[in-house]
Amino acid sequence: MSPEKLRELKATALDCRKEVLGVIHRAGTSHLGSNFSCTEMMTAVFDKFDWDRDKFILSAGWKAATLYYFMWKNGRITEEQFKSYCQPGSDFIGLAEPIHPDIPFAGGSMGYGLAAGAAIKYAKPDSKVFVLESDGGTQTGLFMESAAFVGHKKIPVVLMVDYNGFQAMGKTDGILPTNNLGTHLLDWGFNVLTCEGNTLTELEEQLDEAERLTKYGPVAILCHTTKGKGWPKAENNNLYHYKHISDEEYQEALLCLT
Amino acid sequence: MPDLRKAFVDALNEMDDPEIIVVIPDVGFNYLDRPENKFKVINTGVTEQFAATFAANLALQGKKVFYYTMINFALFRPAEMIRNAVVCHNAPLTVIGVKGSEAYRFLGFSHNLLHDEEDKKFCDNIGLENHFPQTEEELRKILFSKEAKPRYIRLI
Repeated sequence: MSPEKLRELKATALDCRKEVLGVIHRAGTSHLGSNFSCTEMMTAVFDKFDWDRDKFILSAGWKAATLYYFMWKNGRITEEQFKSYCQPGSDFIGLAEPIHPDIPFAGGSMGYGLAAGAAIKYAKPDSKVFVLESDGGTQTGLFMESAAFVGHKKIPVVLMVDYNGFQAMGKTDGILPTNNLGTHLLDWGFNVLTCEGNTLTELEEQLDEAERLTKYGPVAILCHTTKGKGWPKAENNNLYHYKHISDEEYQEALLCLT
Repeated sequence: MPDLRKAFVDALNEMDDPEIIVVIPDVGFNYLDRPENKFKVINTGVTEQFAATFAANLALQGKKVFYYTMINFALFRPAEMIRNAVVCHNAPLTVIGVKGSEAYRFLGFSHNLLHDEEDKKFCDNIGLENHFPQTEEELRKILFSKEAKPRYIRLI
């Protein structure tokens, strides 16, 4: 990646966090930590995404604000629509639902994305299909069934796991560890890559490698991220999975996002 | 007693449409595994939650899809997926729930309805259109209708 390109993508990620912080604060809603952990992942995917051909399935539907940001910045929705996030009467709610062609499937209930992505790739083989899943989502039976089938049938989707180490009630390690996910995916027939999920250069390298490997079947990229990345108070602090952002916190977070 | 499983397979063969896909979670012995069938069958293994979601999404992508299995595994095991993936996405999927033969009742509550309206009430509760054809003609009329919407058909 050229230095210019890196600067451009870093600026995008920073702007994304600022805008997402803004809409979440204005709406008085939650899931800031989850949106901040996947910012670079979506920045990297959408940098080379063909919005008319490719499909992105947000299996972790609560990262909706970030998805809506990229839909706005790529001209798929208006600024007004983005900023209507979780406002009364808005279709752009906190868990992305299929209210727009660029949101093919709802990711509210967990674990659905890989099954949806597999069907889309099966039906539309010329599309590149990306599924963004959470580490918690990989605990579901539905995810496991999907992974077994997708691997066995070699359906060439790219599964990106936002591996931030947290779920609703705390750290995944203390609830239902997912640290063997890579091994399970290999056993099911995936090629498995890993990267530091908040580092754009690593993400780009792994996405390029994933594209090469999809010739052979599905690819998983385990993206090790920091929940709440970008605002030190929110980093690895599961309170910001739930908490709305006060006016004081909003100002403090904005200062950090420079 | 009419053999509606056979009538279902015969109807799909008569349609002779390459867009037809029947998604099965490892059922359909001696009906869906016949090599002369003209439609595609995808056996997902014992993965009802995946199968229902996968089938719904194939239908959303324009394929003519049937999710086919015994009633309990069509509706109850993947209940959330029927609600969320099929009804809430308005996926034009036909869910086929097969009622077992007389001998099937010896498989108990896991494989049989608790009462004869259990599947209808489930469907009504989530707004899934439902049909209970009693004859081959009734079944054919439903299958050959051009409407593309989520629906459930029980095969007796």
